[in-house]
Amino acid sequence: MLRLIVSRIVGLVPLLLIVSILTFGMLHLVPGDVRERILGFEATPEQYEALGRQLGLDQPFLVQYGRWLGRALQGDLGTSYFNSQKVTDAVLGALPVTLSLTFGGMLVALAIGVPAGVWAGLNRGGRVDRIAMFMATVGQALPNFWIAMLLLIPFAIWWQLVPATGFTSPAESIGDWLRSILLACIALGTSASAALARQTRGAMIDVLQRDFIRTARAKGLSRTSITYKHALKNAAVPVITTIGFQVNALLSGALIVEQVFGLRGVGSLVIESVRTQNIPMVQGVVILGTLVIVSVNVLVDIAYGWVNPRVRAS
Amino acid sequence: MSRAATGVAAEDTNAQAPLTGFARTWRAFLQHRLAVIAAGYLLVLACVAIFGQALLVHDPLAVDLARTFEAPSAEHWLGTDHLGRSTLGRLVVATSVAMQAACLGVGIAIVLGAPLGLLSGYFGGWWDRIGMRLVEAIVALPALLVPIAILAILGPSLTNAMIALGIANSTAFFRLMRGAALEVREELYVDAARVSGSGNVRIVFRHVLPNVTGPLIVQTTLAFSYVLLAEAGLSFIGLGVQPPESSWGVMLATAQRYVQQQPFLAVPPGLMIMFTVLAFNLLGDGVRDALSRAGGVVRAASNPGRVPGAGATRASAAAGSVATATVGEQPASGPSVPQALLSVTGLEIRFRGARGGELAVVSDVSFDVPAGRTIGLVGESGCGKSVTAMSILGLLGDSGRIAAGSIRLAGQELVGLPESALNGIRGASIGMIFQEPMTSLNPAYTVGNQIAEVLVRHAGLGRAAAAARAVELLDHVGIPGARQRAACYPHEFSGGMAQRAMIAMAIACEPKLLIADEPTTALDVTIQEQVLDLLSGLQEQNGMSILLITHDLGVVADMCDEAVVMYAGNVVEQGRVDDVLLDPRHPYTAGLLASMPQNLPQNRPQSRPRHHDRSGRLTQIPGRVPPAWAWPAGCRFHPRCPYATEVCRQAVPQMVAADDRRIACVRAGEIDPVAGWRA
Repeated sequence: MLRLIVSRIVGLVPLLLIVSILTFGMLHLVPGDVRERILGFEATPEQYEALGRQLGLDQPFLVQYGRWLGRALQGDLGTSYFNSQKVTDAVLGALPVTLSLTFGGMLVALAIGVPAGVWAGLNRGGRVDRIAMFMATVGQALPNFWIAMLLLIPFAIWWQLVPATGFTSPAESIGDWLRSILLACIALGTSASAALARQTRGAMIDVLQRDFIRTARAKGLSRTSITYKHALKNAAVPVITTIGFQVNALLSGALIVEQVFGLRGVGSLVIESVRTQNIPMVQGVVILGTLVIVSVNVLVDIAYGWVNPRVRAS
Repeated sequence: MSRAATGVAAEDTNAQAPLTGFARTWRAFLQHRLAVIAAGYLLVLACVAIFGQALLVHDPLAVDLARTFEAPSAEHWLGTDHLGRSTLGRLVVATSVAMQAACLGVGIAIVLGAPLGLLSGYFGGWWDRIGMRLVEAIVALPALLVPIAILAILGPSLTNAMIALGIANSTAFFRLMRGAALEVREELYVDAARVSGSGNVRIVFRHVLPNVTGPLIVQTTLAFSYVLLAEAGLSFIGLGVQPPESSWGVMLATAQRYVQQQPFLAVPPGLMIMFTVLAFNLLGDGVRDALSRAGGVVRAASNPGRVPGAGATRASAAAGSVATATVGEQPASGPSVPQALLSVTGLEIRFRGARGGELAVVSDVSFDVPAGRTIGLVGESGCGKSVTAMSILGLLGDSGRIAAGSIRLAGQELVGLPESALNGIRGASIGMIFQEPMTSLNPAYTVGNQIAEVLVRHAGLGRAAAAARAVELLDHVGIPGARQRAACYPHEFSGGMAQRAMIAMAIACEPKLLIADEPTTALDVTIQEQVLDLLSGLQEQNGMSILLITHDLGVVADMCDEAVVMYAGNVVEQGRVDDVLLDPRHPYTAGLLASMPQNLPQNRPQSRPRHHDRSGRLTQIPGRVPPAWAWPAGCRFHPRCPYATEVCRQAVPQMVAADDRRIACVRAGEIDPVAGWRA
């Protein structure tokens, strides 16, 4: 198991290198002169020259990349073009909001999607199955920020059960934190639960047709034992893979859903940075976002090894 | 699913008239009602996008500050926004923008991803490796950050957003085309095309592209869904379409800003996104379904057993040493027939067919399994042997049922018993082992756990006691290092070891009857012998009866006291094993025997040769067992029988008892069933 984890982490190095090259390369793909955007048009040639040296623009690409990577590895992803804010600080400051939504959304998705999928799979072709799959099909077509708006209108505006805007840190008050992210998590989670329910149903149907289920029935085991012991653990294998994809989708969704609830997370940060073409900030978000996704994928692989002894062994 | 069922029906009707692949797919698609509706909706939407603005009464850009935030009314069907503009008008404009944008985004994704993927897969090498690494890196990024990063470079605008989404989505097309090209490249006919001197371009157009057209269409519909949703999202956060231009996302952003004043503003654009994305998804599902159906991947639902095995007749050659040598060693079953432990009488099993209605797959099957004896159920694949065995345990699944007859175990009627009572018998009084030991064990639990489970369930043992007993059982069936092996997972076992573990599980509660369904078919020849010896040894020790299902007459000769030969759901001959094998009276039995190697070595057990061919000649029964819905009238064996006459085509043979034998053949007695197979 330990070997599995280590080998997965080592395997990430080339991937992260490619991502870092692509991300660093962004700076050089921006049309026009970066210095102009920072200094404005009225700066003197000397100021241009000085800024160029300061940014290292007079060095060859590889040297620039090496320096940038070296600093990045020490946790320094550069400085905002427009104020002296450190990129790492800004992104890490915004991350709790976005991660709260992502993982809260995942919990909601699991709570809805997995039972719905299991139930539908057990009653394949029945009424429960048809209703669940109809809802999943519709759910997959709903933009999550629209669900968020539809939730916001009654719960936050008409009845004011939860605040319409603003984020409370869990360090301040767990209850207020939950209230501040609740609707967003539900909006994100319903969307993701659709895919999860479909996947779980498919996995369940597939597993129930396997030979070992026939063995379990020939052993005289109860329906409960067959479903929850023998089928579910095997059905979990493809479902866990889906969870990896869903975390990625939820993180993306969170960037947008944040806007509905006025939560100032990574979404607000990156939107503002794109509008002003504040490249170091966008780079920081991409790098840290990738780290989050990649760490989740390692966790998914570990969970995968837990349900699938074959993976664990190799 | 009912869809699948109608699909089978469609396939069958289509099969009558040869249709081209496209026509078949098209017909299958038309049966998919939701997908057809979705396609219709999308056509209407396209018309609205193109001509809609000409039909509008209100100018979508006309500001009327006296009439802001109006609810839907006769004049403004969908109300007005914060500038008093008609929501309906803006929605029509937005539809046009969304459709153009989606076409642009998907177009870029295809133009960029598909050719690169095709080249990458077709030529392979370094470019392929670099391409794949890049794709992997892009996929590892948070999905929305790819277009966002690209927009950071290009600056926010609709066109740039579509370029960004196109690039982000091109990875899907890259992978699809690469996979298809790779696959086709490996296939024989492309090799053949190459040998015959076709150029690469020609190969791509003639062989690769036609094969990916279907998946490409499905992927395109998915891409439309993705681009529409992502465009709405990007426009919503202000990185896509820029106001005063209208798009569904921009309209939702407006609704968000004025949600206090007029919540209804959020409804129309959201519904438009939902219906449109839904339509693309349903269209994709429909096309995918139609393609897989037209591709002829149809499983015969009416044949609940295994798929009729190709060449099963010849496979029965497996065995080898029939009769002669071994039969003499069989304990002669005296005139006093022992009391039957299991008694099956007049069994009829029906399955619901794919097109509704029921089909009898087994009828009028009767046999006894005396205590302590081994009875062989023999026949080719698809004769109903396994279904008969499963019915004894009441495990016919949802679509099968016992329509008539009786199954008695030690006097107790099993047919009609409630599920809970049957569960008390399964694994306790009746144990069962299967053909594929590896897949019959649950890969997620240790072998010890799976054996202990039966003991906890039936023998009332605690977990610890059951675990200890499981180790004893593994030891008992000859697994070395049983204590360690009990903690292993099935994938760490060899096939033979896994079958031993299955046997340990089946005999854990000392059943009176062991049903063994092709227990050695999936195993190595040398292992087969060991497993059969283990079964006989266990039988000697605990006196259980064995119902052995096999297509292998050699196994029958080795193991069984009596043989019940089945063909196409009926018993055709039954009797003592030496009688049946040395003096077959039914042409089918004789045919099975004749399709085994001649000049069999006499010295079992040292050698049980497979595909052994000393005589240089092996007879085969022509054809194979037809599926249940195609069983002929009269004697079901007549199309394959060298003795068939007009009588056989009409009269259904009745089971006739003579001496200790029972034979169902109209011409029994008047023919020499062996001679015909020599010709």
